[in-house]
Amino acid sequence: MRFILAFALTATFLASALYGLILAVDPYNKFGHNLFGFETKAVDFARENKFNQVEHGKKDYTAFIMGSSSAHRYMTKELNRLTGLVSYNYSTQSATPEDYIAMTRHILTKYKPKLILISFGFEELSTQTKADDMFFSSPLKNYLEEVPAEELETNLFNNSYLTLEAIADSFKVIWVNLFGKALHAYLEDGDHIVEKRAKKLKVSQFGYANFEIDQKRMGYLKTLKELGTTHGFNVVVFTSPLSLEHLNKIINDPVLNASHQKFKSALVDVFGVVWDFQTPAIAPYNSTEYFMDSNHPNHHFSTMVLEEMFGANRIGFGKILKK
Amino acid sequence: MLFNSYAFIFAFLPVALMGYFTLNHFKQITMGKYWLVAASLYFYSYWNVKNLPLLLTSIVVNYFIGHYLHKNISWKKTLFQLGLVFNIGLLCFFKYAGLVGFAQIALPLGLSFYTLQQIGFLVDSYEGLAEEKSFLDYAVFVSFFPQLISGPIVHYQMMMPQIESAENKRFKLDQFSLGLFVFCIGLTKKVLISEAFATWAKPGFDEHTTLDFLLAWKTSLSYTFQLYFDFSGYTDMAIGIGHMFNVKLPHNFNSPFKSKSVIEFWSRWHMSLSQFINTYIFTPLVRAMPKINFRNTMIATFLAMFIAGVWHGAGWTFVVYGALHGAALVVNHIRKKKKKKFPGWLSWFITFNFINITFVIFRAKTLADAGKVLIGMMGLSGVVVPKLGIKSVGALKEYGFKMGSYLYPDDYFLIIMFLGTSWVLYKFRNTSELEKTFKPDTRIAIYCGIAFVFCLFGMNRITEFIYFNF
Repeated sequence: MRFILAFALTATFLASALYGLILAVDPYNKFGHNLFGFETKAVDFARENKFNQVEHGKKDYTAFIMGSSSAHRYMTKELNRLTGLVSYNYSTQSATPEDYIAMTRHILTKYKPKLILISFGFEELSTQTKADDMFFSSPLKNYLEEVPAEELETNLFNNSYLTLEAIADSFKVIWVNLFGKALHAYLEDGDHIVEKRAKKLKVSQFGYANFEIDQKRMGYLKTLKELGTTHGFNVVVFTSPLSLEHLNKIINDPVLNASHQKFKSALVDVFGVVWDFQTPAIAPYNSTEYFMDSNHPNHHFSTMVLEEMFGANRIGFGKILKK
Repeated sequence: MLFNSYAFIFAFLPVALMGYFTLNHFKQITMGKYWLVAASLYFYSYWNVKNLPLLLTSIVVNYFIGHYLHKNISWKKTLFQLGLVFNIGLLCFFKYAGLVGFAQIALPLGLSFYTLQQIGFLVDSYEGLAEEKSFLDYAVFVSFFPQLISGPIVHYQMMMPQIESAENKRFKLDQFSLGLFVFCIGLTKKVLISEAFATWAKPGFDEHTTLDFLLAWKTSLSYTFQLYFDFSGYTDMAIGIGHMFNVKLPHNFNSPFKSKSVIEFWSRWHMSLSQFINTYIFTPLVRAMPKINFRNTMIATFLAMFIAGVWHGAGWTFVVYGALHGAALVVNHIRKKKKKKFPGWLSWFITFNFINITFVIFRAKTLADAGKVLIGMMGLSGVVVPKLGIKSVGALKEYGFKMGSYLYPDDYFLIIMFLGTSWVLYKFRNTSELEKTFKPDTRIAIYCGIAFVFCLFGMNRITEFIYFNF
């Protein structure tokens, strides 16, 4: 009996403690509380931050930059200089077309945009890449017409909090807030802080396997394009630059290469014109002078990309794909 | 439902146990058995209720054949043969229909295991070693849910006396504690260890089109470990649940990766299947030979192992797998006969690598997929050297060496997992050894409680046991 009691007490106590910790920390902001006054949560709630900046923006923004974290470093002052518009960088980690359509609808409630610039990563159109959990716990979810039922429910036995990852992230939140500092800080206009140059150009892990175009996402992008037509704004899209090493891993694999072409074709089908920065023309820029890591261009290279698309003197490392 | 699911652990199992022991407590022995059968059939139907009629039909047909095998009838042998044809026919139909032009039908869950178990019963009945007069008892034997889906394959005469024993009709705290302990070991193996290796094995087999040397070895070793921890984890859970019901089920694994020969490996891996093959396939084959000599015994060995390979499924990979193991056993026996031995460490090294390589064939969907991994393991698809303190491969470039990227945190975790689990496998006692020396003390209970909780948090993934597919 002692064995069973000891087992039951240990299991009950530990399970309650861990689950209670996760609920109290709420690392993915599913319950919307911040009991301990953390400066940042495990997965930075960038969407909520930026949503509020857009919602309560003091400027009359006429251009918006969207994309995942790879679009963080496109500086609004550079886009302003090149286009004469007033821009806001609405990019967030792990963004997917769900974000872009929701963001566009949100923007249209407050502003009259003239330009929406979207950076696309290879994985974003894939059925294998799920929309970020944080999207569904942010106010942006209200701007996506179809929200999966299970994503709207938030209850005590929420599956994503009964995971080992949630335990790890809860401890990470506590650690970062006690001993570290928030890695992502957004400036006015959604700009990202300028970081030090990376020491090594690491190839980021990627997962492009079993690539299938997510047709629902293509539907969102078509709707976004139509909103542009209806509301009179241009949608300019481009493929997010990858380092040469990262790109070669894709194009040297016949299956991945075929998927990569599908990805580009899908964008061209919807938008008609796509700026392609995922080509071997990137070779001269394959260093930490231009990249933070293999799929995050730094501020300097991001500016060069903007110059390539909007500037008067193109260097030519961006290819234009048309129908 | 899976053993590693919330529904099973917190709902089904407690209800099944409470119902069974409560009915037995009130001397409702027959009702207790009905309860056990009903619970088992519910457990089975939870997967797909369409599989239930086949299970019930199999139980009914085999019961009546077994029943009449004890009568004094002139056509006893014919009846026995019909019974074998029925069971083997059922297996062949569902496993191999696709090969002969029929549409491939999904294999009903557990068919391979409960069919083998009943074949064993028919043979034992024919030889007068087993008899069951009660249909209810027979239904309990076949449907007992801990071992229904993936074994271990049990003998009738091993299991039913335990169910019948009056002593075992009451709930025993010591048996429950032991069962809980073994169940926790199995749950940890499955949820925390096997699933981790699965994430490293899958991409190599199913996603990459070529594998460099390190990736190929990472893939093959990950699968070998995944398979072992998955299947032995399942078996441990089955055994643990059996203990909770006061039924001691046989172990299926006895530190197979310590084996120094293929002969030894098959005495330590999937032991209930090995025993079945030995008793019901190998021995009859040998007896059927014109002369019992070494040569014919080796032929029987090869054939028995070949059948074991093909039992897993209708694919060339299983044919090759069975043939390779059959050949390896024959070679092993020949060397043993000639008293030839390698040094211990070399024997282990050869055996482990042979097992690892054949598991690649076992896992691959096609021989081409297996070839992809094996070619990578030989370095023929290149060797990508991670950036660990070196920046260039220099002259080795001409030999297919390339510089790769830095190791990711996941790679370090993989290395730790490999080293950690290898150390545990070789240094620690296995489940059957731990079971023998189990004492229900507080410290063990706390360890089990901690492991159990982490498993609960790790269970939130959709997974299946590998051997459910066979």
